[in-house]
Amino acid sequence: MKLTQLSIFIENRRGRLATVADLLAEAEINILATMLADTSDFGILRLIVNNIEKAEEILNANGFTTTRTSVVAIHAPDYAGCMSSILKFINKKHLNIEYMYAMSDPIHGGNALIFRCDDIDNSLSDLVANGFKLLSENEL
Amino acid sequence: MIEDLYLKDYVTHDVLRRLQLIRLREVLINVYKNNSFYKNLFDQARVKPASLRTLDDLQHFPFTTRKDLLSQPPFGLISTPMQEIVQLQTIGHSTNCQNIVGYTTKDLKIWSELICRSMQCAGLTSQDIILNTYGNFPGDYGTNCGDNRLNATIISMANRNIEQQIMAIHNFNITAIFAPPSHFLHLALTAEKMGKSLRTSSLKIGIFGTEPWSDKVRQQIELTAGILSFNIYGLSEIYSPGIAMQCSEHRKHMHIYEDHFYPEIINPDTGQVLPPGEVGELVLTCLTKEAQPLIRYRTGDITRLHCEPCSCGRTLVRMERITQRSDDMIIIRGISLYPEQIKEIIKNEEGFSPLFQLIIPRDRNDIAYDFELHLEVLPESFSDKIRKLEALKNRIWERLLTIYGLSAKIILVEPGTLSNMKNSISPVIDLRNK
Repeated sequence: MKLTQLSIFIENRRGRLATVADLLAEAEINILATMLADTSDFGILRLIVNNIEKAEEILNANGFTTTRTSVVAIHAPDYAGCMSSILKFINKKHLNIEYMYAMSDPIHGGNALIFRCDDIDNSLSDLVANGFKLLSENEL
Repeated sequence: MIEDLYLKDYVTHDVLRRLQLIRLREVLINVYKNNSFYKNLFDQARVKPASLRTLDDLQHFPFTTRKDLLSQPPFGLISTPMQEIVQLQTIGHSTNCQNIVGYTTKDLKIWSELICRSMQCAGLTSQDIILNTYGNFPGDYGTNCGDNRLNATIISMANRNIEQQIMAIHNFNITAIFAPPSHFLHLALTAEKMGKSLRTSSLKIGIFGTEPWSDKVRQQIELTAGILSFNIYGLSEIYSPGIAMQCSEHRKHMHIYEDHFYPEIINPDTGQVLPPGEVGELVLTCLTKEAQPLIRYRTGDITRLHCEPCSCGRTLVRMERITQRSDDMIIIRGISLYPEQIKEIIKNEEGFSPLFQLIIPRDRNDIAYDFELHLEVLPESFSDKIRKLEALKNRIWERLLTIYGLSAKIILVEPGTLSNMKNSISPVIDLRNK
């Protein structure tokens, strides 16, 4: 089970992030998870939202460049060493993590770790078989 | 020897005009006889070297343009047999648009003479020790002064870093410097930070050129380094630098070495020669160059000539410092660049819209790049991976460095940022003139 994430190119200029938030607010789009990656001159805002089509439409109409990416959200119960056990498994599969971010898991408690890992598809069933819980958009 | 150099700047107008006429006839005969490009050009315009009776008759001869230079086959403008050419330099940095400027031994000797006269114009003598920071660019030979008749001492440190250059100024009692103004300002400010202020050094004269610089930068240079600054003018297609030089009396204008170059000012739109004192495009004819004399070369530089005598006593006509061009050529550290060439690079690399904005900083203080280049990523090339976007940037950066030797800071901007400006804002913002 993979999630679709919306990534937005943001110039490193005052007010640009606020503009994105405003546009989404006006369109009544709920942000489920968010992560901002920054470099010296630009940033990439990564969002998981409740209505990606609508978010994409409103942002593109306002001149923002966006792209869709598949990510995986793994439930991480609240105990020391949980993240380590997830990463150990990913490492064993020789998967390369492009980036990762975390949010709290509102339904199951604990957290959700969101990964972009290009070659994870073949390992998804293995993850589940090894007791890891993959989260869907509805569960965020 | 030095006496003889000195006198050339003070020759009377009568003698100078006679000399120019003799040399002009010779050079026209030379190119007509020995160069097929000029033969065709003159034939098409129905002029022959013999049609020149007075200096004013030159206006009936056709112009040579930079385009002509770059569109000719390699060596297409050389007017001497190859065995007489002792040095070649390339002009035009684009890969599909490049040509050669050739020099004979006599050409190089004259270039040295021009540099010596320019040093003299700035008040330098055989007592001076001069640091040359130019390198890897056409002016190398000239500023190193291969035939140094002034007997000044020259130390070349083009390949050394700024801190080494600062230490050399202090350690070796250097009294004068040749540098692009942006480089020197950076050097002077770095010296301040190192606690090695140039004001406490023996440096007193700076000869700057090969890129435009504003009066503001000039003031900042003089104040920071405690020196007098002089502007030298040149063209990589002829001699760069060494065509005209400011004197210590009138530091706004530059004396053109009229015994070697015949200047005209034209209306850039009509090509008509303008009367003295009017602003227009500078057109130069090489009077003494052997290997590659250019006839009525359109420099693209907008200026005005001053014929009235200069208080320094030099009889040579003066041109105003260049603040404007008739085309969109940009010169950075002696490297000339057209916005069209940037466009070409962007077009050849995937991922970007063809729109761009180039911003040249006012000075190089704390700035490690030559210019900022703002680019829009195409939506289809936008990646969620930062390293992919960085790789796109690096490819353009690398192309600019490889082809032009210029270091750009590539800045990705949101799509639409540059297209909205299309009609109102220029693709080039040169803060050096502001």
